[in-house]
Amino acid sequence: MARKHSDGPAKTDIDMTPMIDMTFQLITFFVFTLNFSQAVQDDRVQLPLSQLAKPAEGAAEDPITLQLMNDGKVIYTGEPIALEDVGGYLENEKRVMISAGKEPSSATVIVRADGRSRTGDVQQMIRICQEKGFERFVLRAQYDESK
Amino acid sequence: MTLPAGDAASGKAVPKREPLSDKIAIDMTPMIDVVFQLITFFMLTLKTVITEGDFDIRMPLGASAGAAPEDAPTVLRLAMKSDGEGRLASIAMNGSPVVGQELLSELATGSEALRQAEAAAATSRTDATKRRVDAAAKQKNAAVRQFIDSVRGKVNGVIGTNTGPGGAADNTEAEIDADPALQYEHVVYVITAVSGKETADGQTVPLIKKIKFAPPRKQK
Repeated sequence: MARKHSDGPAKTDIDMTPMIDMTFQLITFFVFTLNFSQAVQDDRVQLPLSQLAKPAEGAAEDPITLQLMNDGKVIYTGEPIALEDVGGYLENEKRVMISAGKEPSSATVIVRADGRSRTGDVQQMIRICQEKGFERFVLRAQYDESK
Repeated sequence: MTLPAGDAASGKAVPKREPLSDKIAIDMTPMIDVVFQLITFFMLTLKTVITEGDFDIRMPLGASAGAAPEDAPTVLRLAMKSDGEGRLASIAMNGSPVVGQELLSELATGSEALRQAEAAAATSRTDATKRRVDAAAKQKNAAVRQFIDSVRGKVNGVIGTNTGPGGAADNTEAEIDADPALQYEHVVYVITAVSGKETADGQTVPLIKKIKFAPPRKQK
């Protein structure tokens, strides 16, 4: 018996279920790992490790992040500047705070210093901040997960 | 289309009913398009954030060296000396040495081994250099932990183990006096040692909460 030839191309049904399952799982993963935090992290600074460096429960009030690199330069708003020039930028921060009706003493200066940088540079940076009226400081470290 | 039922009496032929299919073909293309666009969006906005934490330090303006605040009558002065290369040469608490030279040299050896391994890994990324970095990091980590435990043990020896509210730890302030040339990571190790301890279940038992830097000395 002769087989009947179809008129058009053969229609193949592809089962899309596994692919859709997988893509929805991927979306779920990305939705759960989505991070809205405005954490300032920079690869140029290698933070010292500490077992006690766990994330704070509340966000710091009026945070100003200063990142000290290994070579003594400071990253401020993404750009490396000389340590001596930090004072000028902090003066601007101070002016902005005062114009917003806040005192510089209420701001928190987050010190992200490289573990290999000189302690003297960290202290000098803190001293410059103090001279501009900033009083609250936190030293940031990377959480040491090794057991 | 549903055809009218045939009438046998009228003599008209009854048309054959087409079998009804249960399968309804839904066009999946728009949904798959949107889903893939969502995946692309999430992949591009994904950022890996390293876990970081903060140590509060008290740096009131105009505080003089060694002046204890009213609420912390006991001051632990931790003097850290550098060997000129940034390594820790000695550490003393209120004048008495905290750790032995053997541990300090272990710490220095571990740091140096890791620095060299990282420098080698920066030039050639092979499995061997990666293994060397891992081994050096492990060696340094062990020395750092031993160092932190030693410093914490000395601190506990002075203020006792009562870390509860109103205990000696609450009335003690740690003042860190470090050489300007000392690598900053050593200061963080000491701050970790005096701040508290992580228990096996991941909880932190706090120790001294008031930590400050001594006024900076003139840099050479």
